[in-house]
Amino acid sequence: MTTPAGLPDSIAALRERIDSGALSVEDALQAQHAALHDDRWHCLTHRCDLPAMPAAALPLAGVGLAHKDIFALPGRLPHCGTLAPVDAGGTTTPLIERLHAAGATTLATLSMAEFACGATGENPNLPRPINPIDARATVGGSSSGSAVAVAAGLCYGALGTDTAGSVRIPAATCGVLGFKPGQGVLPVQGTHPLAPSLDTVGLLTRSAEDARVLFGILRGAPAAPVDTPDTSWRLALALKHPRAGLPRPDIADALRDVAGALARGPVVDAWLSDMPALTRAAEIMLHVESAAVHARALRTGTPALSALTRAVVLPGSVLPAPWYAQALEDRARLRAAFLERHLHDSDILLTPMLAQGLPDWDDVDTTSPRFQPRALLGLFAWTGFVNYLGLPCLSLPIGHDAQGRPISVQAMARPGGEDLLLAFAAQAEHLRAAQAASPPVSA
Amino acid sequence: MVRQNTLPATPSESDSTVALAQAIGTLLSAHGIACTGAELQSLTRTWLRLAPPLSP
Repeated sequence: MTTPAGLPDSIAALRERIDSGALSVEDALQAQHAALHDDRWHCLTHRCDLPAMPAAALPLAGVGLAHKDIFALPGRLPHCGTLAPVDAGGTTTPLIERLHAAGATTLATLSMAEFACGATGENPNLPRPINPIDARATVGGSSSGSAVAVAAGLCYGALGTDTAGSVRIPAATCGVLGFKPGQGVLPVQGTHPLAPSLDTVGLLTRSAEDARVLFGILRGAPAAPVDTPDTSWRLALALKHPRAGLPRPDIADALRDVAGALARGPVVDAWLSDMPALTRAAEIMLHVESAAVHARALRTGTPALSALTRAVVLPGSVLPAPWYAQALEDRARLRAAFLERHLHDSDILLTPMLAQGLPDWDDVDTTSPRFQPRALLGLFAWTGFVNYLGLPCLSLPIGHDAQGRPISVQAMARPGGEDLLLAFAAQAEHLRAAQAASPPVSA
Repeated sequence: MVRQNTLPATPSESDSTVALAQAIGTLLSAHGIACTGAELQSLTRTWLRLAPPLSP
């Protein structure tokens, strides 16, 4: 497979061509840069000039990346889905500097929900992003451009931010991998905050292997290559949401199938009765901390906040302080209880991502006559509590439904389980590729 | 991300809900924050949804 620039679609394959001398770093980057001129998906907010060429020996030389427009770049402050630069508390982002030091090139900045406040890419300041898989299907948010650019093959990976699902949701809607490391694993300096106690920088890539390579650079400690396709896992699977009920049958079947194929022994049937309390605490923290971040804008009207942003930020101005204090105080105890209950005897806990499938844009766009609030709520029903717990987590495509839209699974692990999750994702991809190569035999 | 407080309003609001909405509006005014009537309704629903359960 190749990207729109006519290059291999994985970092390893690209680097192989560069290392063999079949492709120069300059030609690789020029081709990627030129391909950005066809932004038919409305995912770019700014094209960067190509910098001086990195040394070919660097591990990411020739690898073009693009990032959510929430990070400070050399010479450019983020716009955060608005039409003007925004102070991100610094003029550089250490994580992006690490990528550059490893030879990667930042090609562009990417669209997002305004100030990261949205479960979709809806943003009155920007054109609606188009899902490369199905133009009628929604693009999740808030790292909407990151998911679109990666799915469209415009870059080898993209940084996003995840405060309540903003990496995992867009990844699930566009059929790519969305990886949220544990809270505090990666630094957030240079990143405009939404709710600092929940904010996490994450990665969107087309494969677990690409995520592993980039995460190793970001963390400063490479993970071991995944070359154990026969590893099996102790898995738990939570299918029923305490409030929303069961997933669509085909989605439940897809999750059962992947869990059954990768599990060592029986898959534990998990029931997350603690999820409503965890989600409530997460929501209180999101509202209160985002209100603090945007307090001046709320008072002065500058910068003007869209209705979608105000819906997230305003409640935090009036929620009682004891509720927030309690949510903070309970965090460690509730995390310990969750781990003991769901991740003591299991390596990985699986849940649905989009339990009712990927909706049409018109179902979740708040300005559409067809807008269905419950379809919008379904996008983030399974994600916010993970940020409260601070656990590493990822969203991984495992198949397609009858409409050809992606089905993804959410996988989470204990603190420190980032490498384990990426290894699991790699094995799930291996399984999927093997199944695709071996069509079922009819009787 | 990610919250979009877009659930539909309940058909009729109780007296206590109206009083809560008024209190929230007063609090916002005291902070110097302006909001629309629809935002105030949404805020009130959010406040009620997130309120801790009452002890028996």
